[in-house]
Amino acid sequence: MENNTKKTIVLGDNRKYIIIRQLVYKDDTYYFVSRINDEETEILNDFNYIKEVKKDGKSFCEFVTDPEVLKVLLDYTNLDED
Amino acid sequence: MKIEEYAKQKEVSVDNVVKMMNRLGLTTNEEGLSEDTVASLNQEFRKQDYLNRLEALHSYIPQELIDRQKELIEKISKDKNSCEKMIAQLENKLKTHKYDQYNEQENLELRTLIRTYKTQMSTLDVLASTISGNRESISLDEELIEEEKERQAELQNVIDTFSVELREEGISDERVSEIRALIEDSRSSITDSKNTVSSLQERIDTLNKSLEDASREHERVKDKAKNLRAEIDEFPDRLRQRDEKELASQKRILESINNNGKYLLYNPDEKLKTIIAQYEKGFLKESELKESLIEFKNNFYTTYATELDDQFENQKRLSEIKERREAINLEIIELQTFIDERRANEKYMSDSAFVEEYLDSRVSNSKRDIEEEIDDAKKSIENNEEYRVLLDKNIADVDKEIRQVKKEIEKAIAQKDSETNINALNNRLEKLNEHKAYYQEFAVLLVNEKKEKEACITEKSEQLSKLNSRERDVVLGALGIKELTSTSVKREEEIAFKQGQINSLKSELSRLDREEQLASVVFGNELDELINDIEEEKENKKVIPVPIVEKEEDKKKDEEVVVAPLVDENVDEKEDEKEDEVVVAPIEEEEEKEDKLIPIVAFKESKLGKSIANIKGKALDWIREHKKVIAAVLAGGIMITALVSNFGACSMLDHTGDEAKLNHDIFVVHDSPYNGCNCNMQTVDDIDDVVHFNSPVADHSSSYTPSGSTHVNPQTPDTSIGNPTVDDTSISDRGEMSPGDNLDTGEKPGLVPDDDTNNNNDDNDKDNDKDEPTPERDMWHAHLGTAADAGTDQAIDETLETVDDNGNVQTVHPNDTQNDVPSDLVSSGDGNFETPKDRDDNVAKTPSAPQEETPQEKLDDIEKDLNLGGMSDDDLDKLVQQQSASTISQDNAQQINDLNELKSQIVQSTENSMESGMTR
Repeated sequence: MENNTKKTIVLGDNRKYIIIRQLVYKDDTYYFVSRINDEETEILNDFNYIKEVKKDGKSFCEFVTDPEVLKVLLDYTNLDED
Repeated sequence: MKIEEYAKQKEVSVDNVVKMMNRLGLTTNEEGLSEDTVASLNQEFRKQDYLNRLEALHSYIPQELIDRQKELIEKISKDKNSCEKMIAQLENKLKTHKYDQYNEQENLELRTLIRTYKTQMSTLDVLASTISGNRESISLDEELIEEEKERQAELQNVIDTFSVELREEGISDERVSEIRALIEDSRSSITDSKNTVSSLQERIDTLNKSLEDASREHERVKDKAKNLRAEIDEFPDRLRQRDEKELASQKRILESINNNGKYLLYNPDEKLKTIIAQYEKGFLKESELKESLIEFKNNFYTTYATELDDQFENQKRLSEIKERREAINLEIIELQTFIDERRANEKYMSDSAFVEEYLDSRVSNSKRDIEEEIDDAKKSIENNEEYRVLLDKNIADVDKEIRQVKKEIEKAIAQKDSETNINALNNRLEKLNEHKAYYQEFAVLLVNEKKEKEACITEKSEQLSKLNSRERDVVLGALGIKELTSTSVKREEEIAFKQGQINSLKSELSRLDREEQLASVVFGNELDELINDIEEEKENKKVIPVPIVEKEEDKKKDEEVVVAPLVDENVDEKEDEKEDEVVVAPIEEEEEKEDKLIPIVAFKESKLGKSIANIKGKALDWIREHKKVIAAVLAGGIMITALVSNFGACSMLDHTGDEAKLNHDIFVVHDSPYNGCNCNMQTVDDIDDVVHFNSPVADHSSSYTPSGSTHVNPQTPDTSIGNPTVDDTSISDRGEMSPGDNLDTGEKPGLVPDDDTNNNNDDNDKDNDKDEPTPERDMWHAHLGTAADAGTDQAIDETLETVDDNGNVQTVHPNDTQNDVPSDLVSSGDGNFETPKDRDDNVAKTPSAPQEETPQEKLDDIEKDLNLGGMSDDDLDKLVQQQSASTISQDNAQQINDLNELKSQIVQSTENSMESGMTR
């Protein structure tokens, strides 16, 4: 699995996020991200969990809304290493 | 059907068919093979085919991946074991939290604390002595000053007396002089005394200043000692909390290992082997085989997604690799040739023997070639001459014939022969002339050729003579070799550089090989093909069921699969069950789900990676707040979404479940926790507050209208933003409240949204989470406790952590937690812990050197330290007072001695003066 931590993820609608943590839960990859500005010079403190979804060989993402999943992700997002 | 026919159809030998029949226990009838037998045989052949293909698939899994997987499994198992061991240790330790279970580090920590505390106490002693000494000195000095003043008064009296005596009595001049001298002496003594007084006053000032400093320092050290004492008292609790935190962390790690491990521990090699074995032994039916293979494929792809991501779409890459490899090979050959040449030249330049040999070889070769050429030329000349002779003869013959024909023409004309004859003769003459011209032309060619060959012979002869020369330059010139001037070092460098290029290319080649090997792992094609074949076989109506004894449930499963073919192979059993229950068309759900998918354009390296540490605090706050929301939601809270005109969606959360009472249990969550925006919670006690807070301009009928749903619907916020679909009657429908009634704020607990909350109207305000704790938040924490009680241990931890992080007073106070003290440690009543044994047998123990101590001794030592060092604040004060009263420091004693000495000097001096005055 590729470690995408600290990378920028660019979405199809041009939104950009920086990946703070990468998590794997039930074989799915999730990212704890914060939005960054278009110039990629500033972190906007707009946090989210997004899930990476592979479909027809392409990568998509969806914002995590399931409380059960969110609970697990929140519990296991450890920022102590920074 | 006859066996032979069947064997021919299957393209196998009859023997094979017979063997298979024997193995399956099948027999022939009078017609040969019955339909059932054929079906069974078909099935078996198909099985064999699948098995062969599975074996082939297995061989595709590269050893590199298998090895890596094994390493990972070992590492994970190791990590897991160590984690479990740590958890067991911590749990055991927490169960009976005793001093003797402290490890070296913890013992050291406690010991250090105690020693620091004792040092502080000693400092306090010293300071107390200083203070007391100073006070003593000051009072003594003041006494001395009083005495001095008395002396001065006495002396003044003496002077006055003498003065009166002088004035009133008739005293001789001599006596007057004496008295005056005495007066002068007394005055001088008074001046001295005054000086002494001012000196004493100065000393008192200094002492006072020193006293103030010492008092301040005393207070400071006292505070420090108090803190240390508190720290010592809280040490077991702190340690317990630390262990609990560590335990929670280890548990998280273990769960993470389990989660990730599940993914990492997936061993495609073992898994495929198992599938093959299960299928071979008949434990897996074809439909199950298909499912297993799909599962295998998904897991395999997931497991090696990173390594194989590129490779899975790399037919193109494979061809690129091939091209690149060819190019590299060519380049390597060129470079190698270059190097070989360079090396050859190097050898040529440096090795004279080689040069000689090389030259000899070149010279002899050249000579041989030249001699051959000369011989050829000579032969050509000879031939040329022969041709020339023949040609000359031919020319002479043609001339002779021409002359003959001319004579005949002349004769024919003279005889007036027929024109036809004359013309024929003319034509013949013309032909002969043509022949003659041809011969003459050929003769010229022969001459030229002869000249050419002669020149060649001359040239080659010269070359030969050069080659035979003893001068190397002449020989090299003859061989066409230019002299090489580059130095051997330069050449070596050049060779090394080229060799480096070759090595780099070779490593690229081996990388490409590896990449190609990995790319070749795309057995997805084969796997897909196999899965499709199984599917086709299954869908083929002609297929007769597998001749394996099936269980009833298996049959059911098969039927289910036939009736409702698996659409999404990732759907688990639970979802399957749900699908049975839910009437909603799954396709729509799928579409809805697809709508939520946003394409990822790229992952790219970011310069902001280093800045992540800067937002850690805010990220932690965000996580903490969201944990609360989620915990409340999961504990049965209702998510009510209201439209907020000025800043988007606002959700109210009622943790009480079905009864959404409009009281302090309602929490407003700014923005939705589910759209991932900033979230801030606030208890509200009145719907007016909510309305006002949410939308100052909105009326009740549209600004908030929570739905009556009692289910948490994570998607609600998304759909509610800008889309007020909720009904304002829903609350009243539930019998709790309607927008028109019961909005009296006075009836509700006095909790209103604070300023911070209102600040949230500013979209840019993302820092509300950092606000100081408010009563509302405390209330929230209290409710979290409820959520935690509902079964979320994590929530308990978080509650504690949140409280800690907010800087609130520690909820776990030493006095409050004495119940948590190990069973064999009891409170001694003064905040200290002592064992029952110590209480019964309170014998002071002599601490021994740490390195020589046994665990029990360590425990005793620590406890003793605690008992010795431990005292209440009152005890501390008493100690200070006692020490102030009884102890005088050495410095102050010296000061007092000095003053006493001075005092006696003054007294002596005064007495002397008085004595002498009186004598007179």
